[in-house]
Amino acid sequence: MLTQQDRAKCDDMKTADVISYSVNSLSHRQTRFWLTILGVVIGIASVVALLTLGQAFNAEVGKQLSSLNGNTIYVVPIAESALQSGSVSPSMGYSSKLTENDAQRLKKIPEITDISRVIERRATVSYKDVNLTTTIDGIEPAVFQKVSSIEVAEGRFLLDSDHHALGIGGTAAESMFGTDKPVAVNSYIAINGVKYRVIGILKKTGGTFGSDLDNGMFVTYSDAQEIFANSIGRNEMDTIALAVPEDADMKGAVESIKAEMDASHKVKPDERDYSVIDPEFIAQSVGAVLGLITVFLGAIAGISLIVGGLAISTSMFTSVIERTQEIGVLKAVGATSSDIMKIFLFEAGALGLAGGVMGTALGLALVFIGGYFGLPVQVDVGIAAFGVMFAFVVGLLSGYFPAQRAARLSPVEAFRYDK
Amino acid sequence: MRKKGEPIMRLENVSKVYTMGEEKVYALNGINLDIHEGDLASVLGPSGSGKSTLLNMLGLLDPPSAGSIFLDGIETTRLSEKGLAGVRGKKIGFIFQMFNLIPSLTVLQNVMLPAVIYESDPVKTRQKATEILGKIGMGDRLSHFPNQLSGGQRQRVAIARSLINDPEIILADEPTGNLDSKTGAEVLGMFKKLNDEGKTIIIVTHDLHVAKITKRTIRVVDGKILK
Repeated sequence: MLTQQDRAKCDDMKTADVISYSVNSLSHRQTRFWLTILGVVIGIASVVALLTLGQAFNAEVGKQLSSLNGNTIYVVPIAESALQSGSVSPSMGYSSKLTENDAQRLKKIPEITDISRVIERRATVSYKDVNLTTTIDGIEPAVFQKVSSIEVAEGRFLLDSDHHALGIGGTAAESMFGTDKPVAVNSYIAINGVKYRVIGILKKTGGTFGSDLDNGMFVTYSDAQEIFANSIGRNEMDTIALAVPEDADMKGAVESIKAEMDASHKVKPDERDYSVIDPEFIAQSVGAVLGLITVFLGAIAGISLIVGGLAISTSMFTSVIERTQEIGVLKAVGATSSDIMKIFLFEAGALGLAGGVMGTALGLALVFIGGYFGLPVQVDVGIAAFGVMFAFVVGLLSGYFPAQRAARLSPVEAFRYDK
Repeated sequence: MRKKGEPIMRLENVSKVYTMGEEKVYALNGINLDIHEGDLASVLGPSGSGKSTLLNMLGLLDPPSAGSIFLDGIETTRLSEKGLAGVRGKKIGFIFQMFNLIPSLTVLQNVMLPAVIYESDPVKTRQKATEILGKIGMGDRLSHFPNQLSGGQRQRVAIARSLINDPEIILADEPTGNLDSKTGAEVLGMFKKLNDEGKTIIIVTHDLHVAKITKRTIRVVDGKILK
């Protein structure tokens, strides 16, 4: 007798039964299982490895930035609007001038502990018959040392009292004039025809941001004024570096600097012909670029994931065709369309999930192997979880249409197939 | 609800029409048929006569184009897809010519399948499936997969599967069509025994030998039942 319960039944199969049925089915087709998830494994491994590496690079860069004296603020003669829009970089040339008057006004700001004027221009240098053009930094040695964590490898660093003396970065000393002509302490380098004695060679920092100490050539501020007398006025400079104490209010200091500079240059905030570069600005700029690179690499890896998803989709469509009669039997013995949908959807999701777990493991393994060869390693559980979940979703999405096709098959069509 | 003496299944003026281009083809044309409790009937007819379509109607696998099908007093044409699935699972047992066991499931799991879908108690279902398989001589093959069995063994498993939910009717589509004559005779013997135990069985066949063991023969020609 058809009971009320019979008529009301047909709730769907229990989730546990759907899972059990799907797992049985997948384990029965192991070769296809492995071949299908291969694409997802490769896709997820690339995504996880690239995102993890990207993040590790970000962290590494952050570390390098913080080693670059996080308490130094630079004022440069480049219009603020141009620098913020990214249309110029500090190395592209200057649009205005910084003067001794600016430096004196900034010195008065209470948060500022040290001020270092810098002239940074290109000049012709000669060493052992090799002539080339390079950037010369005219600095105030005592303060510059405070604001830029310099260490000396050979000789000594410049003193304010030095005249026609030169400090050179580690890399520049090694190879600027050719690796067969390394620069030694007490040798002479001519700048615009005037001889300068090499007084010290700096320790390599390995840093690649901010002023490039490793490739730099440093002379005293007064020597730089002499070298560049034709291109820069006596009272002018290219950069003012300002040191603030570690516990100082960086934002407050930046505001005070801007206020002084606005008054000195007689400009309104939206007309600023100079820029103030604080550590946060540098970190943000570098972070934005690195973030873009990470997203770009992730997108490339994502393409292989799409291919993986297509592999799941193809495999599931094939499976639906192969199992047409099985679908007919399931419907004949009482399975509803929604049961069939769930079974195939779960199988596709399981393919994605398995691919995601293995891909994430492979991606992390690649990161560790990279670490063995010197790449920065930093495992983020969030990225790993994202890898697994993303693959699961890719599996579900790829399996949706095949599952829908299976669910829509009428039992009669299913039995007629292959007959 | 079915009253005493009423048929388990009743087909009233059932037609199935397929449209081929502009032409209408009647696979079944105004069929009236009663299946009573305890029937052992064979549906006989040449290829294209409509006997498979009739089986689809009896199995609630395909809705009729016209007419009504009553099962256990309920007009099934009014049931939803889900409702029909439930009735099929609980009230009808299917046996196919190609056995149609699920290749990824073991013998025991195949037999349990209709009950699992019907949300039965898994422990009881397992016990019952084991018991049925024991009765039909497959008790030592519970964890085998279909591809490890002979044709006759597969058909026994299919018979066991059709019995798991104690259906009102068992529908068999050419159940001996893929078996040798000896195994076929064994399978028919099983049907006879099940019928003796009270099961209502309908066998669709074109084999006159099969028809000989049934109590009643329904002859289908050109979509109609011959009186």
